Formats: sequence, C-alpha cells, structure tokens
Amino acid sequence: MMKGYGLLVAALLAVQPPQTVFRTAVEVVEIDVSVMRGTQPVQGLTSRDFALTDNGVLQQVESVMIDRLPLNVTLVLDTSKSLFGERLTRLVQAGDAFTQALRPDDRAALVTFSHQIELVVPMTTDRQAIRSALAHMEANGSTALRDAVQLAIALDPRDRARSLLLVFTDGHDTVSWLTEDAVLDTVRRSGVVIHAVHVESDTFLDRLTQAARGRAWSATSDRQLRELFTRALDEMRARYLLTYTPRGVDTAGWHSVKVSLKNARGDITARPGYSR
Amino acid sequence: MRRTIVAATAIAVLAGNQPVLAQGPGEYEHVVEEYRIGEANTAIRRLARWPESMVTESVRHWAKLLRPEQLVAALMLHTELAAAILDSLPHQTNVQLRHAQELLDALSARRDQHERADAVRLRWYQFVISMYGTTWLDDADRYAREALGRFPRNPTLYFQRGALLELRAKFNLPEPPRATLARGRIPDPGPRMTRTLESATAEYRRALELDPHMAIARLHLGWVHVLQGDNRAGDDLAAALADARDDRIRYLAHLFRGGLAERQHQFDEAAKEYELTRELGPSHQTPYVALSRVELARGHTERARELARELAALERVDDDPWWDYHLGAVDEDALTWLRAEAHRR
Repeated sequence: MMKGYGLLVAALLAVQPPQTVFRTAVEVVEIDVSVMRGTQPVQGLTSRDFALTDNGVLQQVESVMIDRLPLNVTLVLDTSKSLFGERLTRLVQAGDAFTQALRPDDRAALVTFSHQIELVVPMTTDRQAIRSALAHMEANGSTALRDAVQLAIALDPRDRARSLLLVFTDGHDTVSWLTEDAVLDTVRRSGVVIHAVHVESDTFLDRLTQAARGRAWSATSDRQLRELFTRALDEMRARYLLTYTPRGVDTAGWHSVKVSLKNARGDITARPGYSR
Repeated sequence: MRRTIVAATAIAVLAGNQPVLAQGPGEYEHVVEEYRIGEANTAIRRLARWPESMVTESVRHWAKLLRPEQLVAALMLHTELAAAILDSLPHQTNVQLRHAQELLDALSARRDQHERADAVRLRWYQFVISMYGTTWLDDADRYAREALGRFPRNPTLYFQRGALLELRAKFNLPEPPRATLARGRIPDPGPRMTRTLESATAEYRRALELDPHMAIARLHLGWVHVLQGDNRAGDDLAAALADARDDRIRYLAHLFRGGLAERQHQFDEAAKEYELTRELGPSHQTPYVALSRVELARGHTERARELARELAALERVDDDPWWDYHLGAVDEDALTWLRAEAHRR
C-alpha cells in the first residue's frame, strides 16, 4: 500500500547534532497486492514467491506480510430511483452484514448518492450509526456516481489505516459533473483501494477498480449483494503488503510497478505504479 | 430541480384514490372555473378521475361555448393534468394534450382572439416540448417540429430543438430520422454522438441568427463546443456571460468556463471559475465537487478535503442548475406565463 501520492517515506532518519542537521532519507515503497485463484484469495505466500519490477528494473522484495492494519471503509451506495423496492432492501441487508463483519478497530463511513451526494455518516467506529443510517435509506433521483467517488476520496482521512471504498451501483452515471478521466486521475493520485459491486456492466467501474487496484463484482441477482459485499471485505483482508527500497531507478516522476508470481499460480491485482 | 413545479401537482393527482365521476358534461364548465379561479390542484384531481369518453364529450361540447378566458383555463387544465401523469400514464398524457390543442384551435377560431391564441400556443409548445424533454425525447421532438411549422422564425424553438439533440447526444441516442431529412442533410458516417452534437450546434446557431443575444443558446453552444474541443468555446461562454440576465445562466457559464480551463489543464484558472460558480450558488453541490477535484489535481489535498467537508455539511436545495442543464427541465417561464393567462380575469 502506498500513502498519499503513492510514495511512502517509511523511514526518515534524522541525525541532529547540536549545530548542524544532517538528514538521510531511506525510501521504502509499500505495495499492497491481491492474489486470487478464481474467487478465493491465495494465502501463505512469501517474498520468494513474488517478482517485482520498478520501471522495468527488478527489485528485491524485502518483506511480505498479510496486512493487519485497521481499515477505513467508505460505503458509497447508489440510492437512485431504480433501487426502489426489493433491491434497496437487499442493499440494506448487504451493507448491514458488511458492517457487522468489520473488526473493532476498523472504521466506516456511509456516502449515498442519487443526483445528490450525501455524507450520511462520517468515519466512525460506531457500527450502530451506520446500520441505522442504512435502514433509513430511500431510493429517489438520478445517478451521480463519478461525483460521489470523487467526494468519497476527498473525504478519506489518510491516516495509518488502510482505505477502502466499496462502491455499489445498479446502473450508469447520468448526471455527474466530473468526467471519467478526471475521477481516474484523482484515484491514481490517492492511495485508496476501490472495490465495486454492480448490477449492470459499466466500463467506468472497470476502469475505476483497475486504477485503484480493486475488483469489480457483477451481481446476477439482488440476493447476491450480501455475499459480494462480504467477499469484497474478505479480499481486502487477504491482501499482501510488499515492501522494497527502489534501486537502480531514477527518483523523480512516474514509476511503473509490475508484480508477478514466481512459484505459485494466481491472478495479481496491484497498483500500476506511483509518482514521486 | 425545476421539474418539481409540476411534480407537486402529480402528487396531488395521485394522492386522490376515490373515483369521483362527473355527473354530466355540464360539470366540465364548473371544473374549468375551479381551475381558473385558482383551485388548480382540486380541479386537476377532479378531472383526472373522469372517464376518457366523458372528457372527450365535454371538450367537444364546451369548446364552442366557453368564453375565451375559460378556453385558456381549460386548455391549461388539460395540460397540467398531462404533466402530472407524464411518468405514470404516458398514453393519457397525449390524450390530454390533444384536448388542449382542440381548445387552442377553438380559441384561435374566435373573432379577435387570433393574436392571443398565437401567444398562448407559442408558450404552450415551449412548455410541452420542455416537459417531454425531461423524459420522452421522441415526443418532445415531434412537438418541436410541429411548433416550428407554425412559428418558423422563433429562436426559442430552435434553441429547444438544439437542447433536445444535445440530450440525445449525451445518452447516445440516434437523431429522429425525419428531423434530419426535413433539413435535407445527409447523415455523416462519423460516430453518432459527434453527428448529433453537430446537429445541435446547427440549431443553436439558427437560434442565434434570429436573436444574437440569446444567452441560453450561446451558453449551450459554448458547452457543446467544449465537448467538441472547438476553440470557439471560450468566446461563446464569454458572450453568454455578457448577455446573461439571470444567475442560473451566469452560474453555468462560470462552471463551463471552469470545465474548459480544466480540460486545458489550466487548473488555477479552473479553480477561479469554479469559485465564481460557488459564489453564485453556494448551496449547490456541483461547484464543490468541481473545486475539490481541481484542488486535488493542484496537489492541495487539505483544501480538497475541506471543500468535501463543506459540501457534506451544506443545507442543500434540490435545484442545481447543472442537473437541469444535463437532464432537461421544464420551461418554468412558459408555464408561469400560461398560468397567469389562464387565471386572468
């Protein structure tokens, strides 16, 4: 995982004698990686199983661990008029199950969108606040998906917790101001992982989750929403955190990162790179 | 959104679930009078429960007997009922609008009423086109063509046709074929959206030829030029701003100038325009979203978050001009004019 604009200065060693300041920066890049085989996360991998290149230069992966950091999850849920009825009921149940599956130190926020975007519950550990807000959702209006994603990213607290947006929509954007490219640019600048559950296939959601190294799941029925929401959380929990110190590459500009498996089979999802 | 102006009536119509049938065609005049004196919702609700055959018979009978001011009230009664049932009963909407047109024709046939009938008819078309433009674009286009047949030099109607085409382009719908052939154009082989946007600009230009200071047409032309990457966009939006007579147009002009600057990666300029947009609509959502995105692009993460928080804390009014622009909206000016005419004593 990378923080802020993609580069984490993980260790800043400051030596401070009385009169003169010498600083040595050791830059460690963290990349969070999902490894899936079919619908199941692949577990038990070590640094020897990963090959990582930074701008085409093979790097030494220094550590691999299953990430135990708490999560900041923002549920970004479509409440446009097409949700009216059974689908909204199922969405509330899915959100409720998701909220209950969070760990005590995880936090969650609820953003809903039709043409209007609302931060219904700011980031909190209070599960009941989220569940209560979910139960009071109403379906009405058009769909401002892109604007809602932008707002949710801007509101992300960017602390030491890992940030996840779980986006649900049952249709396509109809009224956002922002273009796809503008939102994708924001996503690339942020360190947020975005998973999406959708009912109709949507090219923007595919591009969005790809840029945010997340996954998109297609619900074949409203009954599936609960299972897919839980799967999104499971996937986030099963991610590996790879760290390395870039060697043999220029420091400035965009760094293209490619991660592959050497000794195991699985589909890898990782951020395509970072800027510094 | 501006469509709420008729939605309120829709709620009133649908809320009444007890069928109350007319006792006879004689009751029609009573309902019309009810509407005319300002009991609009009661009258609309009452007429909504009449069987179609009774309504048809009443209109036929009373078209020759009502006084001119009653005819205007009657045609607006049918029109407002049509608007109220547009989403739920689209076929019945057409039936009610046909009744309204019969009454318009009756007004037009009266001695000394031709001029008044023309003025009402023009606004009626403008309202009906805008009403259908929020939902049923084919019907809207049919009325636009019909209106242009009667008022071939009216710039507002050309503007409305352009706006319908712009909406079609947004949702990647084909142009209505007859409209294309009527103007003698051969469809280009290019992508549908590109072609439709070009047709929209042609209609806006026609409107501007007839009224060079028509700010709303200039605004739309400017935004379509932004979407087309046409370098005339900046001049069009500046002209729209100069000619604007209300803050909704100024709001959109600044928003679009911001959008233009953003597309050119002039983020400082974009932020300036979005700030001006926000000053004009501090309770609207769009300038906050736009500014937040631009501030992130400028690397001002904290400012972007602050704007997002401000947006989250807003007491918002459900009336962002961008939504109306993007989805279409009822022509409130035409509706207000028609209502005033219908209630005139």
